[in-house]
Amino acid sequence: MYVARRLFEVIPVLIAVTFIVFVSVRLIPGDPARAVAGLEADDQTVEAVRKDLGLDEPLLVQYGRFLARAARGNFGVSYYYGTTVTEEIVRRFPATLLLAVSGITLSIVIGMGIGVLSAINHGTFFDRGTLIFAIAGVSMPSFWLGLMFIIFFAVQLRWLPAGGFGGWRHLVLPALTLGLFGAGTIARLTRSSVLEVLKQDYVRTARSKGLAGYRVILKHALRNALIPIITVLGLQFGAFLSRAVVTETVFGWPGIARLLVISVLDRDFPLIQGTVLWLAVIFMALNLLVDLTYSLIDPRIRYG
Amino acid sequence: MSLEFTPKRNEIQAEGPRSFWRHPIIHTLWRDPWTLLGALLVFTYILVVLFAPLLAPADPEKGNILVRLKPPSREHLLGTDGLGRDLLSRILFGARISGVIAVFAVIVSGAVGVLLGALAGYFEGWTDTLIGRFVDTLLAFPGILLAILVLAILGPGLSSIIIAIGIFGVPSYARVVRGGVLTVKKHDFVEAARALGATPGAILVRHVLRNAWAPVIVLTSLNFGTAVLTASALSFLGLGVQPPTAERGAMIAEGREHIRVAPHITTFTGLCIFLTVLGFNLLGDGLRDALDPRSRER
Repeated sequence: MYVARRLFEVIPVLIAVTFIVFVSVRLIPGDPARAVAGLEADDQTVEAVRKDLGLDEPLLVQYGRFLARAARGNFGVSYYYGTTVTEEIVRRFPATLLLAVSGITLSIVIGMGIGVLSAINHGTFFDRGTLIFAIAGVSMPSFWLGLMFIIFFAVQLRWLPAGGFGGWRHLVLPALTLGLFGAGTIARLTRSSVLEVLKQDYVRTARSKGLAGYRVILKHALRNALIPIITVLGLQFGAFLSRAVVTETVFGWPGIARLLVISVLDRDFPLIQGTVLWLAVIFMALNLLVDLTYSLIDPRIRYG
Repeated sequence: MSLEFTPKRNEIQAEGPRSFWRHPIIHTLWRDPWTLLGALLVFTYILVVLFAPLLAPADPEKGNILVRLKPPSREHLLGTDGLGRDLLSRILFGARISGVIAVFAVIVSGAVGVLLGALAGYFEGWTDTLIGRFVDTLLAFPGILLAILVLAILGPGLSSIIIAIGIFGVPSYARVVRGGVLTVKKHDFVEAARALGATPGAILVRHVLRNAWAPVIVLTSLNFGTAVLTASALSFLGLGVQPPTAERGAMIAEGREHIRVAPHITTFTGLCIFLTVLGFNLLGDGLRDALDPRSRER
């Protein structure tokens, strides 16, 4: 019931997103027909291209065609690359996925680890440091953090490459840049959640039964502290994708987020359209996944 | 059984005006060193924004190619950039540019977001549904993506980046204000104002929003930091303010080309952005603790 309701709610938002992307690209200054025909082309050729691309038709008809093509994964041909937009996106998507998964994994591992330790050592210097680490993490420009890593690890120490895409060594600095940003927020939230849960009666009962400290945390406290953490993870996806745009640019990582920036700078309309829509749909899918995961962890939500 | 009329505002007035030093915000500033640090950083930033021309030791646009990429020295406290321009001066003027962007972007976000949230929360029903779907659509675009889309339409530049970041911030204001209005409008004094014949607009502005301002203040402080960060990121990507204007994100992008021989450009410029945003976030965090003790965790 909850799953069906959530899926139903996503549909109008998805349609609205496609409409915004469609209209936005058409508001970009410049004539797409001339961009395809070439700057030297005469007016007759440009008009022929305009007719061929369906750009002379009413806006709603164009939108309908766009939706129909988008549903089949057809976003047209990139002006700059000459290949289909879908090919470019599919070629680059695995790199972004690898970076995002690595970054989020690092965020979760570092963040939850620090958060739990902070909750256990509540009121100490370590606990205080966690809160400051969290605020510092979200205050730091990720492109600056990435460049600082390059200066220290690549230029000074020469331990890791400064950028590019290859083996695991190329992944370390970008993943760390992306991961540290989210780790602070997750640490702070884990700390609050675990502290809240540790006050509950069932935790006191578990302790009085003689359960070891770490088992109390892992078996009882952490599971119940997961719901707000998953909420934040869901909210963090948007920030992760935003930071991925910058991180991929800093490290020359050949992902889809960097492709978006290149497409805007090149005014490659089909590529802008395709990458924005892809990223928006991925983001919505991730949020939906997070919402559906709630219902697995908290049965009360399933029947809500 | 007797009915007691105990309107909240009369009770507050009967206690007398609160001492300035005991106001929750001021009390938090003195009690919490991190909030005080945030306030000092923000205050310093405001001074820099206002007095950059007096504080800067040199013309930020004027360069001397003979001293390009020099490290910090007595003549140039933070060194020089790729065109021999004084880095400290450019950072100070860059703070001004960021300040202008942040102020106007927050005004755009706040004005539109508060209006939408107030209307949604006060009228509920179809108004709430439509505004809610609009906000959900904006939130469907991850963070900076919406700002990039707007910049793709408007092209790079100062006013474009203000509009892009302004739109990006609307959903957070709308949601916060809607929540606050939904809570406050149930109070007796709002019902009393309605019974006395006040128009919905007057009730919203004079009664409801006046009592729902606390989370907006907190959000504004946090959004200043976000606006500064987003503006610098967009300029770093080449989509925002363009060189030779001294915007700190664009300066870092230029510094990146000389990262091996002149890391000081990237280091000092980024550090200044970090301290600015840290100040607003620490202050915003402190304000949240002061205005909503339930959120206090320190």
